[in-house]
Amino acid sequence: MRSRRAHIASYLISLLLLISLPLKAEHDSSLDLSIGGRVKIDAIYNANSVGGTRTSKSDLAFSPTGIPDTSRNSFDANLRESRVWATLRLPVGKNSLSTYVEFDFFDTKKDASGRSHVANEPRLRHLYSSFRNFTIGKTYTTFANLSSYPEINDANGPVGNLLVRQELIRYNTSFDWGEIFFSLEKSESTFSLSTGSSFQVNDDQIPDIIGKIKFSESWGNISIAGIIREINTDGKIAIGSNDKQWGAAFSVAGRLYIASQDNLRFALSLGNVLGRYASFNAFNDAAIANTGKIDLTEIIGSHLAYQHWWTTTLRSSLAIGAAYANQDTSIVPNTSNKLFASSHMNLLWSPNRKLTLGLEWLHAYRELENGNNGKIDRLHFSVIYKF
Amino acid sequence: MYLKTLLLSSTIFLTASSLLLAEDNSGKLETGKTILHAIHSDEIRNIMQRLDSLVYEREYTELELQKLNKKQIKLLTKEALALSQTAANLPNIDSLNNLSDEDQLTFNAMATELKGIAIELKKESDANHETETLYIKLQSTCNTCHQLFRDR
Repeated sequence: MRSRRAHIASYLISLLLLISLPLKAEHDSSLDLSIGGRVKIDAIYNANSVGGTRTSKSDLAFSPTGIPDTSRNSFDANLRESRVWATLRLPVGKNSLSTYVEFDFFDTKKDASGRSHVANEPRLRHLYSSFRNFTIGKTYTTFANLSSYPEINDANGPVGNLLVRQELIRYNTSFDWGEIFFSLEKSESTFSLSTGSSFQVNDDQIPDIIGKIKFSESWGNISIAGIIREINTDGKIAIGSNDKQWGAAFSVAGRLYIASQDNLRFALSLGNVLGRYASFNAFNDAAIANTGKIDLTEIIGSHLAYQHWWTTTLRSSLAIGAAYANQDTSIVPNTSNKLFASSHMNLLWSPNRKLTLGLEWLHAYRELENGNNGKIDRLHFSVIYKF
Repeated sequence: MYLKTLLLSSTIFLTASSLLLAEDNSGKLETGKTILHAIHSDEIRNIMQRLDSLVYEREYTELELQKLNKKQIKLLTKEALALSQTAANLPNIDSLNNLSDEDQLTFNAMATELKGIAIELKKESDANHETETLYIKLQSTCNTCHQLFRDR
């Protein structure tokens, strides 16, 4: 059955690739290569540190599951959110094939010693090509609306947003009023076990299916997105039990200009397969009983951010967000995550177009099913230089 | 309870936002030529500020930023063309603008220049060419015209 599905999937992808080929390909030797990036220096003071080994990124970029119940102050400085990118445009007939690659330095897997010379491993953020209406490669999921993401120093952002980068094949078409998107994206079922630990199957069979409609005008934009996923245990959890369930989720997100540059950015997502898409893996896609039966996790997440421009170079953002999961505590332990909330507030100054300095305060909250809760407070200073 | 509160607050927020937008659009329909010119002018200023602020976007890839830039240029040229049309009719229609023959010629020439730059800007943007020089030229044309005629 699986080989047949794989055959059908490869046939569909081949068909899409064939459709995307130009009718009359005339290769031009004139390539357009651009290279750029940014240096970002972060200095972070955590009033309530996550602690633990330095392989934990939670002290550096906000991760809701890293909110501790105990306090320990810490200071850290790093350049991990610095990025380098390259774009390559190859003219093909009247169109062009655009390829983009981007790295940051946020891979901390070799950082256990905490020594600076091994602390900045490159990490692939994007690698994709676009031709006509098709995009193939690794980049942000179609389910997200990037313009709803607030301008903040923190690498991850408010709880309730959707920032997942993954492999995909996407079709989009533009109209005067906006755009329509359709994509097939990498599937990955994540489960909460009755022991409280997390489990990934890694043998998913059907790609995540995503559609989005986005209305854009001079007032800003609003998008409505839907996702359909198959969550599949593949018999890995309970021998002989190969339960699978289909689920869906929806998201409304956008940015509205209120006056001149001041703007509201928002996202509201809900559904029973939001799982790994929402709030940086705060919740899993489903809980699974010892018998192998799947119980999809209903999740709702939302964030709202207001940006005010004090002058043409000085601005502030206030972002608040929350995410909540409705889980069956007869399946998952009562130490499972139930609710997250966060707020970011900052003041950013750009003396010129290449340089931005900013100070940000973060407060976040985490609550478990048993009522236990914790919080963090963080002061975050950043300098960004674009080149 | 928590879910309900979140849903309710989001609904209120979205409704309020759309009402704000609706009010903004209705204003445009009830204005005369002079006010219409001022509205186009404000809109152009807003679009230019948003174009300038694209450089501060943090999550978009460079390719996406180029696409957004192109979209804003399209909006900008649309408004600039509308403004040049309105501006060309201003001296004839609005009794407040009693310009001399010479001034009228200058005014019309500037409106024509604005139209030409807007068309060229869109053409270059569609072809993925550098648009900064034309963008600065458009800014300069607006500023010069305002300095010459706005406070009369």
